[in-house]
Amino acid sequence: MSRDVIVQQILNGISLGGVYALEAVGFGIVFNILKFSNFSHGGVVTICAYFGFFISTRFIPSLWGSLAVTILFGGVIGILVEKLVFRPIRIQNKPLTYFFVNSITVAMIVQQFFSALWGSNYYPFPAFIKETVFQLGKLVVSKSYLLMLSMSAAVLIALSLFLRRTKTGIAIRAASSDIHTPALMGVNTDFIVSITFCIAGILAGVTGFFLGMTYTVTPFIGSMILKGIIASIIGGMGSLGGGVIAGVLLGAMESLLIAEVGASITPIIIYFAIIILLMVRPQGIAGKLYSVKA
Amino acid sequence: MELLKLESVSKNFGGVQAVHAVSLVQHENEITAIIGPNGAGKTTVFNLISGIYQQDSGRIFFRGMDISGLAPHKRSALGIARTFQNIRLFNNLTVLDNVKVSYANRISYHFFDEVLRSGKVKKEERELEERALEYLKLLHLAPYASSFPGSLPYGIQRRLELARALLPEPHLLLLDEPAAGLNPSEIRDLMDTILHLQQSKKLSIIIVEHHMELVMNICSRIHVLDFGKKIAEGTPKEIMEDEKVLQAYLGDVGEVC
Amino acid sequence: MFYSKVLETTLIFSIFVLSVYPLSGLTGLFSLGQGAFIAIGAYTAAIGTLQYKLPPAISMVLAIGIGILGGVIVGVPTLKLRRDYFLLITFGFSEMVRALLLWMAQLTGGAMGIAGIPYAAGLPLIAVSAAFIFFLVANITKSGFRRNCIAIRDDELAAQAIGINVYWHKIKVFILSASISAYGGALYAFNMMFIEPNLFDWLESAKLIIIIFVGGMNSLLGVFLMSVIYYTFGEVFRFASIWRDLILGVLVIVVLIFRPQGLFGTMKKK
Repeated sequence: MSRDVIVQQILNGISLGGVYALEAVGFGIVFNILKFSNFSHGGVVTICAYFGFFISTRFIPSLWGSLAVTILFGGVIGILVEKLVFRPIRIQNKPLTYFFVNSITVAMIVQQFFSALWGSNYYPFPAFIKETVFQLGKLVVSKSYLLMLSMSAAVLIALSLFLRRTKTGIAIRAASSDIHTPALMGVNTDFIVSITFCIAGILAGVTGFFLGMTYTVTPFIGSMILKGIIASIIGGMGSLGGGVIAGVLLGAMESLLIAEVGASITPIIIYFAIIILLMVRPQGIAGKLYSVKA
Repeated sequence: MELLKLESVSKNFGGVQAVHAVSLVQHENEITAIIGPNGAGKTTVFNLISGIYQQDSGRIFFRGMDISGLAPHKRSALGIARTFQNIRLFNNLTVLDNVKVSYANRISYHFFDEVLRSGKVKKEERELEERALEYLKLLHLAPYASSFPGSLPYGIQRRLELARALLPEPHLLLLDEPAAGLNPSEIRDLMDTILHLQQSKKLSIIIVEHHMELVMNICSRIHVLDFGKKIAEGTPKEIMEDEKVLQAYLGDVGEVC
Repeated sequence: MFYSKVLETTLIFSIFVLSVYPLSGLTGLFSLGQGAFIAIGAYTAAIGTLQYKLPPAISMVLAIGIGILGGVIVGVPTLKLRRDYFLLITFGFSEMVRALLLWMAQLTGGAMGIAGIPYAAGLPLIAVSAAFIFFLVANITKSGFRRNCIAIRDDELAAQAIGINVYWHKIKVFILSASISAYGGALYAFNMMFIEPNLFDWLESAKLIIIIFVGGMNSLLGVFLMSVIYYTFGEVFRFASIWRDLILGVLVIVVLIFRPQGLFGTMKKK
């Protein structure tokens, strides 16, 4: 393979990796404070993908308008899911297993709901932008990929600023070492949990919209969250920065492997590599191991 | 006879010296205490003895054998039992099962016996039930045998944890703040129980406790820890008159007030 | 004819649920890779019979053997890790097995799956198997095995401290589950006569866990009842089988919030 092709593949991979990074952060931010693997995030992504499709084909044909509305919608869905599904068991101090079971249940409900309603049809998003490409020397950059990459980056930067600069953001970060810390700072714990799910929902909105745009909308689109979860694991559960890096790396590696050894063996190599990585370094790239309190 | 010996044992947590070069000896059939201000490393010493933590340096001997690298369940099999400061019972097992479960190490039937429920399983389970009921009676828990621990008052939960620790007939019992949360009459009962156990079961007991009356009354020797270091050892009388101990405690009290 | 088919399917899936019960119900370990063990059993049985001309009975034994081997390979290195890592690695394992089945098309038929598997598991064999497996699982819920499982689920650290070899016990539970799943998978192949990689994805594994939680994780009989109801319903009202999952989903959330001991669980708490 020539150097140009490799660079080209990595470039394509990175834009897809940007979406994985969004998923990884959406998954990781909830894991950070509540310490369970939130598979419902994939469900919220699916809901947002359908919503984005619906809004952009029926009501708001512009890219920015429908994206913005989908993001807002995602935030609301995030809050709703938390209120309906997780808050009742949280206030009863239920073990983490309950949270996990509820989260896979939400994933299942969403997938089956859309399957029941719209079958397993495929719905394409409208073509917002004429599929144009830039020519950068020998490299070809597609406009929609560039858009995805820059939007993912913008969202992640905005989130990082929010987590560092605002009182709420700092409280969320404090909650990741102990959920009760924000209360000591005078911030309501319920509020922090709500806001965290809202952020995850917003990220799901962006993810769902982009996944719908890149592929088509199906009830199974949420299963693509798996890549995000994997990125989050590789990055080190609980480390958002690690998740972003891992997401981008994963996207690049995937594109490269597909070009190099073929699409059918790529997932095998990737999953195998991840299993080995987790066995050797369970804390991931950037994570730290939690110690048990005796 | 020496039962347990810690040889200059240290433990670090992310750069903080939780336990620093602590040595101590516990004899058979004696009751001793480890005392010290909050955060002195008392519970960490228990976690090192029971194998929940691995020490960074130093060695631990039990009945003359180096147990330094052994997993907690193996130490339990050798005869080290413990209770926890913040009661750790199994909330989805009945009181009776909470006691029975600590016999795991001594059960001789195998997985295939269980799968096919052979006569061996039935016989051994019957014997185990009798033993477990005996311990429930000993600690006045018999009426609660079929309840779940989460629904029981604090004092009863503490006794249940004690029963669970006693069933496998340990040589050494580690009690982590057994009097915490108990009222004065319960504490008197607890003292009687501990003394009775020492005599009837030939047990050796180490207690971590803040309740000084209990410590001074039933312990023959006391180890004092402060900031992870052992600063004194002696009889209750000696400890009460020790300068360093007073200082450590006064310092602590000063901070609290 | 129709009803015996319904019963066969129901019992096969109930065997899957029974296989997960000791692992997820009793021990609180979640494997999103259980579908992979089912697939391993089904493919071993199919390939053994079709490609290597083994008699079905031998293929079934082989399926259990390979299931156990898979359990050892996945379990030994991962059961030392924290629970959430176990969950995620088994999930990765299930995706990897699916990718492998797609990739090794010469052996597995790839996405087309394997058709024409001989019909070797009728109602009598399935019913006897289900009854026997129920009997085995019921037995281990009567003695030390159950106590150790629940102790590990409730408080792993205390379980270690009182003398349970937590790691070894988890391995035993996991291998038991893997072997029963693989056997169930073999029955599935010999009953349905057709298998394909997408039959056993992670959501299928998740559903087994969900059924256990609705049935009541401390009640084997409740879990079995729930499983029979769920799968019978799905088979009888095939047109509504998607709505069945919606009902199950809403039910599990309501049950976990208002009746954590499960629909049929009798455990009293607080």
